[in-house]
This record gives sequence, C-alpha cells and structure tokens, in this order.
Amino acid sequence: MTRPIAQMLRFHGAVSWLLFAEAAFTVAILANTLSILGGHASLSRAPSGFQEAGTVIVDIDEFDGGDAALRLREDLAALSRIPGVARVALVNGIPFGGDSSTEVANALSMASTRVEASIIQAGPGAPEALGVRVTHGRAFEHGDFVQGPGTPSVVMVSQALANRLFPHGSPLGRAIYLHGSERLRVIGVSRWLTRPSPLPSRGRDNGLALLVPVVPQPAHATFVLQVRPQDAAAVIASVGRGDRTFGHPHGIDRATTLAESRRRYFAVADSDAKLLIAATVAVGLFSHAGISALVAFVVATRRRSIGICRAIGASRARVAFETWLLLSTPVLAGALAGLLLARAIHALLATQFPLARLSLAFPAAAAAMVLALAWCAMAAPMLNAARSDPRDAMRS
Amino acid sequence: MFGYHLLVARRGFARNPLQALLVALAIGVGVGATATTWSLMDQMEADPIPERSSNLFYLHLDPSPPGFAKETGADTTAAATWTDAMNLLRSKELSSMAAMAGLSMRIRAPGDLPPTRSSGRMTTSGLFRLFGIPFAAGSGWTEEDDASESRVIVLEARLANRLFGHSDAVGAFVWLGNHRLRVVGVTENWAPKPNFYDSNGRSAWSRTDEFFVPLSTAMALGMAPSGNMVCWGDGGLDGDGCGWLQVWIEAGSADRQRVEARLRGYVESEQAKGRNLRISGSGLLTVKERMAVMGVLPDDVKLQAWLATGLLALCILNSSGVLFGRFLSRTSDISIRRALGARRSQVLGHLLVEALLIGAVSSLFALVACWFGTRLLGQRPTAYAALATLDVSASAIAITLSIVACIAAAFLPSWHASAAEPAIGIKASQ
Repeated sequence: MTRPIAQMLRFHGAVSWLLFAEAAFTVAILANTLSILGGHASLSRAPSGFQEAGTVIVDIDEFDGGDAALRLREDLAALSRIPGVARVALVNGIPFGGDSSTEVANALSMASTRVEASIIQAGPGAPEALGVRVTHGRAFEHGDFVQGPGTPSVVMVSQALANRLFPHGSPLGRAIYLHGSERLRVIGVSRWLTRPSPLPSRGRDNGLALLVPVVPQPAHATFVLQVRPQDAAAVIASVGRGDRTFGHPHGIDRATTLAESRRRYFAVADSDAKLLIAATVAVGLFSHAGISALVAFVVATRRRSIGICRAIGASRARVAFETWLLLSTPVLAGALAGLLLARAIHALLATQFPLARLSLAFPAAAAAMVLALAWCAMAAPMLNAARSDPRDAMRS
Repeated sequence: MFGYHLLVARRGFARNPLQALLVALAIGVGVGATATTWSLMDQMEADPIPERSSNLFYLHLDPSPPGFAKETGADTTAAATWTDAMNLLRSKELSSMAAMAGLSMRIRAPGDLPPTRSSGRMTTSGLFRLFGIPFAAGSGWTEEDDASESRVIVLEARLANRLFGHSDAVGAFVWLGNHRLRVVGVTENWAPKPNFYDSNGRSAWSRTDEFFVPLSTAMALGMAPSGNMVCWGDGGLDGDGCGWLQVWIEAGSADRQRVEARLRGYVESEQAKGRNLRISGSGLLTVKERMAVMGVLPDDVKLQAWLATGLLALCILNSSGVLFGRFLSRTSDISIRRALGARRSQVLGHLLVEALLIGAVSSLFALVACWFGTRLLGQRPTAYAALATLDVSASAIAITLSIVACIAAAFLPSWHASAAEPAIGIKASQ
C-alpha cells in the first residue's frame, strides 16, 4: 500500500507539496482565526455576576462646588425617589466601563500565593443593587462598611479568586492581604465577578475580582440603580432630566443599563468578529477550490493506471480507497504540520498583540475542517475514478 | 511577440473561463482585504501636521529614580515633570516651546443653557504659534498672562457655537467648572487626526480639544489634568515627583543640534544638583517617533492587517493549486507547441501572460472588495473609522498587488507546465 503512495508523491512532487502547503497554511490561519473568534465569544458571553438588564448606571458630574459628600447623599436620595427605582447605591467601578482607571491592580498574598485582582468598592446596598449572588458565606452587613479611603476588615471574593488563593479549602473566614499589608477576612464568595475591563489575553483571570465594603469617595463614585428591566428606559429618561430630578445643576456623564454598557464595550470586537467570520468562510471556500483542482488533476493523470488496476481485478471499492489514501496522504501530513505552524504563528502574533492562549481545540477543529473540505473535494474525482471503464481507460 | 502571447493567453482564458474567474475572485478578495487594511494603517500613520512636523520635536527625558521604570513597567520618558518643563520654559534658550496636559471639564456660558462636558488642554502661550493653530477671532493669551495666571480661555469655534450660537465670543465669559474665565480668542476648528500631542494613543483618536487655558491658571485653580501620569515621589504635580506634561519644542534643521546640546547641558546641571534626571536617546523625538511611542495604531487594526496578509498568502497558494491543474491539463497542447519549435521561455511567456489577464480581471474584483472592505471598516464604532476610504493610492495598490499576486500564483504551475517533454506529452495524449 505504501509503494503506490510513495510513487505518486515522487511522480507528482510539486502537486504533493502544494497539497501539503495548502493544508498546512489553511489549518494554521483557520486555527488562529477560530482562536480569536473563540476568545471573543467566550469573553463577550461570560457572565458579569451582576443583574445587567435591571441595573442602571449613572455617572454625575457635579457642576457647582460645595460639600461633595453632602451632594452625594442628596443625589442618592433624589435618585431613590425616581419612580421604578428599587434601590440605589454607590460603587467605584463597574464592568464594561472601558475605563482602565477604574481597574486597580493589587497584589494579594496568602502564604506564597500572590494574585493580581480588581477591587470594586461597594457602598451599602451595592451588592444587592447589582444583583450579586452570594453562593457561600454572607453578604455585607451594616457594620462592615467604612468610608473611603478607609480600610475595611472584611471582603467578598469571586469564586475564581477563591479558587486561586485557597485551592484546597473553603475561603470563608480566611485572611487575605491587600497592598501587602491590609488584612481582610473573607466573609462571602460570589460565583461570578468580572474585572472592569475584561481582556481576551487574561482568560480566566478576568474573573479575579473582589468587593470591599467601602463607600467610594465622591470623585470616584458611580451610582447603581436597581430597577425592573421594563422600567429601565423610563428611569434613564428621568435621570437625563438632570436639574428637574436633582433640584440643582447637574451634568449627567452617563446614564445607561449595564447590558447596554456590555454591548458598547464589545461593539468593536463584535464588528471585527463579523469580518473574521467572513474571512473564515472565504478561506474555506478558496481552500476547497484549490484542493479540488489539484485532486482532479492527479486523478486525471492516473486514469490509465487506474484502468490497468481495474482490468487486472481490483474492485471499485479498492480503487476508490486507494485513490482516497493516495490523495489524503499529503493533505493529512499538511494538516499535521499545520498544527505546529498554527502554534508558531500564534506565538509570533502573541508577541505583538494581547491574544488569548491557543487552546489545542482550535488547531484540532481547523485540521478537522480542512480534512473534511479536502475529502469533499476528493469525493467526485475519486468516485469517477472508481466508476471508470477499464477498456476506455486503457484505450486513452 | 507580446501580441501573440496575448492571443494565446486569451484563448487559454476562454477555455475554462469559470476556473479563471474563480482564481481572479480568490486573488481579488485576498488583495482587497490586504489593500484595505494596509491602506487604513497607512492613513492612520500619516503625518497629522505635515506643514510643521519637520521642525517639531517632543521632549524625551527620564526624570524617574533609577530602576523605577524596570520595576513598574511604566514609560517614565513619556511625560515631563513640572520642574523640568518650567525650567526649560524660563531659560528662554529654546525659542519656541509649549508644555501641556489634557483637561476634561464641564463648561457653560452664563444663562440657562445646561453645562456640557468638554475636552481641552492646559498649556502655555507658545502652543498656538508652535502648532500654527488658526484663529477665527481674537488671539491666544500672552506670556504675561501665563506669568500672572490670568483667568482667560481660548475656545474652538465648534464649542463657541455650541455655547453662544456664534463663533464671535471674544470678550464673553464662560464657566469652566466653578471658574469664570474671559474668552480672548476663538480658533478655527483645528483637529489633527490623530491628536499627536496627546498623552496616549487611545485618547489620540477619541478626543479633540475644544478649549485651551493657561497652564499656570489651571494649576492655580486646582484643575485636575486628564491623561497618562506616572508618579514616583511625593510633592504633588508642581514638583519633580510626577511625569505628566507633554512638552513640544520647535527646532529647524540647523537648530536641532543646538537644542540637543542645550538639553544635555540642562540635564548635566540638574544632575550636578543631585537629581536623577537622564536624557533619553537624543532628548528629542520627531512627530512620527512620538506617534509610534504613543501607540496611535490600535492593536485590532494591526491584527486585521496581519490576518488579511495571511488570507492573501492563502489565496495565492490555493490559486496556485487551481492554476497547476489548469496549466498541466494542457500538457498535450504545450508539447505540440514545443515540438513545433516553441522555446520553453515562449511557453512560459504564454502562460504568464494568461496569468496577467487573470490578474487584470482580479484587479476589478480587488477594487470591488476594497470598496466593500472600506465600507465595512467605516462602519466600525471607532473614532478612526472615517479614515477607511478607497482613495487613488489604495486603488493603485490593489491593482498592482492583484497582478503581482496572480503572477506569483502562476509562476510555479507555468514553470512546471513549460518543462513538459514534447515526446512524452504527445504520446500521453494519443
């Protein structure tokens, strides 16, 4: 079986190399495209841990001076009076804000484990207003809250952070250290919490976040309003009326739902994903065309030898199988080389761009796609070869 | 001879026009994607201030403690400290320079109109002459205004229209935050893309300065700058513990060495006082170098260009496969031509001219793909989307690249096909 394959590869050296190269490059490009698409899809669909449709975010720019803390309290009261608002609270950053300044890089240490995570300051009622679900332990209580920039004594962590810091036991009641010296006790775990600016290159580290019971300072405060999803538009319109709602001059920097923030945050990446999907389809179609043409050519040049095989007793099935094996060899070898090439291209791209790690699933899927495309391209010439009449083939 | 090549190539094209069109389409799509993305990159990296950029330089010093940059990963050469900016401004040896930082504040005209958030710049009086910002009314403030922390402001015409309904706002007062400032000038709408004098690449596309206030006034009034800032010491903004000011210097080609020497002298004098000030490179960056450091080219645009180039390579490879089948299926014809006396180079010529024909058709597909690509890129929700246009240079690149790509795809198949032994070819065809 190996001799005819070796003969074919020798006889059609250039064609075999082209089939090999087409398969290898197609796998490599497809794998990286799929990886970028996969990274985007998993990031944009990852839960934030918050009730997105029912959370309205409001950033207010106070125009006049005066006592900022007093204004903040008055604004909280004014916002809570808006019909449809169930709860109002303060945080210093929300996911999909697109503002890196809201993301604080901190070192936490427990024994030898140091992790960079995002800290979200949450005022009284904020976890409830955001719809944070405490899966283990308890929520913050009234006595836990401190005024920023003070240091609290307790903390709520995401499950991802808990797994990283305490892989072998419950995190509840354990101590973690912020900034290397501030000791906080873990009182609750939320299944999901997302960093304010999630990035594909961070992978699972996008879930490394913690909530501290700190009332943010006025300059960094964002209001979160818990509303029913169907009331969100009316609440945003009320907030937008500024002066009439608050009774004194206000500039509304932002009033939107968390769901809309997510949509805006991923808008460019969504748009790029559509372009990538179009490119992937084009790659598939052109690879199919390229492989089809080469396969048809090889089968046409082997028509005479196929006729001889049939004349001396080879069955149609055997002819079809041998032709398939013959043509599949360079494609299969190319697909395998493509797995390595995909990693090399990804490593090269990763030196330039913040890409997610190339999971083996993407090169494997790309290789499977290329093999499927190649076998589809081989089907018609292969069956024609098997069906060929030995007398016609010998005569030609 | 070329006419005969063309005649044979045209007949060859007509033998299987669908296959030829498929190759043209594949190459056209690959070239269209590549030309679109590279053209966008080219436009984004274009000189934003061509009439002055040859004489404009960005101050490039490192005032941070030794090891700080390595330890924190921060770019400590990206901005100057207050101390260095003021020392150089006061020295008067650098004839034309300006120090600046971004501002983002609420601004409103007296009356009932609601305040509007606007981006602007706190800067020194030399900025307007340095960048050649044209005035629609009034003028910039003077060095005396800088020294006396005058409560003055220059508006851009767009903002003046928004606040007053017209651009002749000179002499009027506006509220910037809680501070009442007198309008001394209104500039024409001047917004270089990218905003090369901003503090980082991200904001260089998204923000346009709509007002300018004296740096000394902004500092006196406690206005907080926006933009990148790196701090390594205590003492606030008005010392040498934070890099936050962008400093631009004008120097003609004859002047540059003198300016560099002056900077070296300044650094040495500061080092003699015990400061950790170091000169970075020559101490000056050109506009293009500064744009590269800022990172005005977003990663997603660069990644698109890489992927489009990969797609083109793949299209060439696959087209090569199709052309292999196409040309080698004509072995009997080629053998007869060779037997009748055609040289190998002439057969190669026939096939490459056929590839040229396919390339010509492909260039049409490439132009359509470019048009479609620029429309798609133009719809992306980004500040630079408007730069994605199908201009003459992009069209020329697309046409040339299509033809070159077709020739590249056809070369190996043509070489192999033209190498056919006439006797074997004729025998095989019988």
